[in-house]
Amino acid sequence: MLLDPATDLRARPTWLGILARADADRIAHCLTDAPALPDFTRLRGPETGMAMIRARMGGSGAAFNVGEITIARCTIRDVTGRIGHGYATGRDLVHAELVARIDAALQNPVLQDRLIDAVVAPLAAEIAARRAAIEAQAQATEVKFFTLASMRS
Amino acid sequence: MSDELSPGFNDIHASQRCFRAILDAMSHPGRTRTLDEALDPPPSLSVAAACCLLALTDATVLVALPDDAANWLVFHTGAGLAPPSRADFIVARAPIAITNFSGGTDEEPERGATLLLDVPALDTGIRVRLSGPGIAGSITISLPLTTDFIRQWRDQHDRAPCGIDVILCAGRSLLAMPRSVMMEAI
Repeated sequence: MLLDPATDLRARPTWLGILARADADRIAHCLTDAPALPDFTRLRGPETGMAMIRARMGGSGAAFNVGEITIARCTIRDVTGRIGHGYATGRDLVHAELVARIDAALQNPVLQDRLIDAVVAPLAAEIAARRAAIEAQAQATEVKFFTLASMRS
Repeated sequence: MSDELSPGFNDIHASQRCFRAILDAMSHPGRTRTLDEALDPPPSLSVAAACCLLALTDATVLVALPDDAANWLVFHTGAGLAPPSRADFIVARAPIAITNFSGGTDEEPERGATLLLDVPALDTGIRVRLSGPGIAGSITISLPLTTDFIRQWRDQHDRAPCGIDVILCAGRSLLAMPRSVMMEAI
């Protein structure tokens, strides 16, 4: 995900995914170049809880529970009445609240462009770079298996 | 939809205090309890009714309540919505016929529904004498009920242990009437 430069950063699931993968310090740092986020009221949380991770055997077989993961979540309403949700793995309540506030602000057409440029785009680039580095590392150590055909008949 | 969401309880202790208040009210039928939680519920719910719903419902129960409160409750507790005849909790603004509500079964009488009667005031209406478990002797109070309701209440004793429980809510006050209470108009 996110490696494709054509990814539309203005899609809500995309920006929520990018914000969830960043950490609170990085987001706060990006926000210094962005317009101030509107004031807000907390509707729920920030709070931590568990979510069950589900998967399918072999990617397409029967579904099973992999295990539970700790998540932090928060829902806020900003002064313009927009609702923002923040979900992130881990226990960082500040992170979840920041994601929720930015999610609400990103729904505001007045703020969206500047927030995309200041926060979402740089974080997406970092995630893509991190992913590319891991893939390059994996590529370098890749072992190519090939079968030696048996000469005996 | 989302514009009308207001915050729920901001910590687990608020939920526990409400649960305790409801437990006390259920143990002492006819006695009024006051909740002092800071809560700004949807317009169609009193603070007491909203507190009961937040404290008692979760994703495993079905609730019948006014539309504008439905989104709010589903957001905060994950409760399911159902018509009154199938619901575990029913919110009504005035005494209604209780004969259609689920009273549980002889094997599982605890599945009987709970009616939250959200009324303007608790201590106006007809005079009734309450007696039964939790009441020493009997007490006489005014309740915002109807003679029809009292007749249906008496009838549901024939189905014991099945039946519905009632929590009367008004503003920040609540008063409970578990199904075991005897009620007669005087």
